[in-house]
Amino acid sequence: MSGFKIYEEVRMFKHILLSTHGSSLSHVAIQKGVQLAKTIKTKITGISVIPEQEYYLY
Amino acid sequence: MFKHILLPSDGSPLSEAAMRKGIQFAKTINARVTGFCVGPELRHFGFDADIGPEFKKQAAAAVQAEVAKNLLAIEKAAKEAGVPCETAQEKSDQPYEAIIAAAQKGQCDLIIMASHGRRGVQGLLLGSETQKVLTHSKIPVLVYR
Repeated sequence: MSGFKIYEEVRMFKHILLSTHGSSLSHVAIQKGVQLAKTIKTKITGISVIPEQEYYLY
Repeated sequence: MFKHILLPSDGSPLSEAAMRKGIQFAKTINARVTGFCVGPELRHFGFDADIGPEFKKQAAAAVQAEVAKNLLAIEKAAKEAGVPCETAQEKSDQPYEAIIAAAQKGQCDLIIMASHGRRGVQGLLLGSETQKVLTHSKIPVLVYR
C-alpha cells in the first residue's frame, strides 16, 4: 500500500483564483469554484478586473 | 463534486504527467476515472504501390499496440493509487470529437488533459486537440500545465 500513502499525502491544489466579471455565467463558475475549493480544502482568491480608465481631453 | 473523470492520453510525456495528476486529483476527491486513447483511422491510398493486406494488418496492429500501451499505463497508475478505473478507446481522425463523445457516453463530469500533447509546439500553432476540446466541450475541462 505504499502507493496509497504517496497519493494520500500530496495535496494537489492549495490556492484557487476565481475570476468574475459579474455575469450570470461567471456567477455559476464562481459557485462551482467555491464548491470545489470546499471539497479539496483549498484557499481561494477572488479577482475582478475592470478596464483602466484613461481620459484624454482635447 | 466530480464523480467521474475522463483522462484522454496520447502517450506523450506531457499527457502522461497530466494523467498522473488527474489520478491524484481523482484520489483526492474520491472520483473514478476512465482512461481514453484515440488511435488514427487507417486508410491506405496507393497507386501502383506495394500496399497489401499484410501491410494493413501490420499497421493496424502497431496502432493497436500503441493504444493498448497508453491505456495500460493509465490502468497501472490508477491501480497504484487505488482509484477505480475503466478504459475506452476509439479510432478517429478528429481526436477531440472522439474525446467529447467518450465523455458524454461515459457520463463523465470532468475531462483532465495536458495543454498540448504529441504534436507539441507545432500543435499549439495548428491548434492542439486540447484547444478544440476546450472550445467544443460542454463538460468542464481541467487543463494541466
